Amino acid sequence: MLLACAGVILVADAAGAQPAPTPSKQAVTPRESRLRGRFELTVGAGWWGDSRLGRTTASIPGNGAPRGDDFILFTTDARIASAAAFEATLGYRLTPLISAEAGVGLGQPEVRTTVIGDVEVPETVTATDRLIQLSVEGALVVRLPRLTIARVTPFVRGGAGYVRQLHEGRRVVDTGQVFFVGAGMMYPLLARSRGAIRGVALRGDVRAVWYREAFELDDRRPMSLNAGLGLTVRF
Amino acid sequence: MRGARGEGRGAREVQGSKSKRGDRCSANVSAALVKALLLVVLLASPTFAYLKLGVHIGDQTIALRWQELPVRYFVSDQGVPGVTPTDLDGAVQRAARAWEDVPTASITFARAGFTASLPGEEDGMSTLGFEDRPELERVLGATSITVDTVTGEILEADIFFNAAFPWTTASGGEPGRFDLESIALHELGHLTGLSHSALGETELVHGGGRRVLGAGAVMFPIAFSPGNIDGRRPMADDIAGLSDLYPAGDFRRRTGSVSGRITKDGRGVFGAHVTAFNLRTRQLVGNFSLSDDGGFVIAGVDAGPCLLRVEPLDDGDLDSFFDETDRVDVDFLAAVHTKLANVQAGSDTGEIRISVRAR
Repeated sequence: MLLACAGVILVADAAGAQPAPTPSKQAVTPRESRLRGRFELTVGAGWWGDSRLGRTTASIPGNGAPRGDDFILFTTDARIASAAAFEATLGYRLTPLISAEAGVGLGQPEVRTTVIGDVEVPETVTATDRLIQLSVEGALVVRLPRLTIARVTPFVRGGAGYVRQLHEGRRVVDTGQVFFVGAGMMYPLLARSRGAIRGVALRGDVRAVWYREAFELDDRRPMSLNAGLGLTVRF
Repeated sequence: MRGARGEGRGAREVQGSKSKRGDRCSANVSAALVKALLLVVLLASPTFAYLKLGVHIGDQTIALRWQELPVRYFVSDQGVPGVTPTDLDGAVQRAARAWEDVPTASITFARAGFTASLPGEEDGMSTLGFEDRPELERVLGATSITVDTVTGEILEADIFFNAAFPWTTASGGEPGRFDLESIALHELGHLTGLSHSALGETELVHGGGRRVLGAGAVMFPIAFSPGNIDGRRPMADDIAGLSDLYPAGDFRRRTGSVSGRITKDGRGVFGAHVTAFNLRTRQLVGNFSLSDDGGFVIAGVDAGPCLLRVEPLDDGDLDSFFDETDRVDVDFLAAVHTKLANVQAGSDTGEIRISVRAR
């Protein structure tokens, strides 16, 4: 879900490669000085990948003696379809290499249930249900500056959060947890040693996401591959 | 009128019969009286969310039900080849227990003992037993009910099993013989006030009649083949129906309902069979559109996403389900609704409109 920390990484890398920022001539308290440049705000777009919910068979007892085999009325194949999303994160650099992040993601994926092999309905039919999905997450980001190539610095990221899925009609809500691990890259666009904005970077990441107790049809945990691209501002 | 009696669609058909007879059970009262008393409830509201036996009182329709529980019943002391009165008694007790074991329903039965009386006698005793009715070539059993037509209270109900057929009570069934326990379960369902379910698939057999391919309810009107014992336990559709009629505990809070309208060319469809399939629990529960505007209600549905499917009533004789068969529209193609219905415990989905196409 969240693209976040890219900015952090960038900045951190840039900081590692350049001289330490010169203290501002304006009145800056030691505390402000320590905090400056440690926050990163990333805003961008996400792509939430397909999440398979599995196949289900609608069957009734068949006729046989003493017991009949199940008579299958139809089979369903359900998934949460891929969708675009809005993602934003706010990160705080704990160390030059590690940042903590909080983020939100908002998208409207569609639950698609395809009915296959219906004994009465010859054509394949897909029944849908639009979700409004909101996630609130926390994550840790670890930058890998030693792997920087052409100013692009990779990072790895993992975290967990809360997910809320409001179904079409806005009467039914599923809530659960979301877990993710992934990796990404930061590309610096701007780095400054003074001023309110200390850096700007392009950040992209991909991650594997698991949902627990959110919308699911059986014991399997829905999983998807998500991606994000955003702009990170360090301040 | 109190104590009026009739036999409605409380019968279970044998499958694949070559008989041209209708499947309605015989009645010891006139057909006109039968229609007057045991009309299927035609109101579409959560109260009538399952096809039940009902009675018209003025401009109202009231579902038939027992007011006093447990339901006391006697067992006839006459057996048939292969089934002693004790076997009959045991099969009926097991069937009664199967209904009692539905945790979301409050129905209870009390066995009052053997009787020399025969089912069908209006004697204030609910009696189950065999009757030799060879003229009813397609009827394995039937239920007749005496009701208070002011309140809808069931006062007495008798069940006969047609001795013209071969029966068994063997625990694993017996080839060539019908399982008495399964048929008793079906007829006891009628005795409680349930009508027929259409949750099943059949095929026409050469020479007339239908063969069951599968049944998702013990209240499906056509029985499995001889030797089959799959009908000894109520299924989800039966459980929803019984629980709707005799709700126990938090049944209404733990389950939800699906309601809406079935239309064809903008007009309501009467008698369409609507099924809700819960994608999470795999529960299958059905009902019919029971008003001229195509209104339907399916109650007792597990919370969760449900797929809705509509089909014409073409897997059984129309008069197994409705008295006014000319109102039933079967001229449309089966359809799956393209929106999932999200059922919430303790509430209704709100109106869902499903449009079907003419054949």
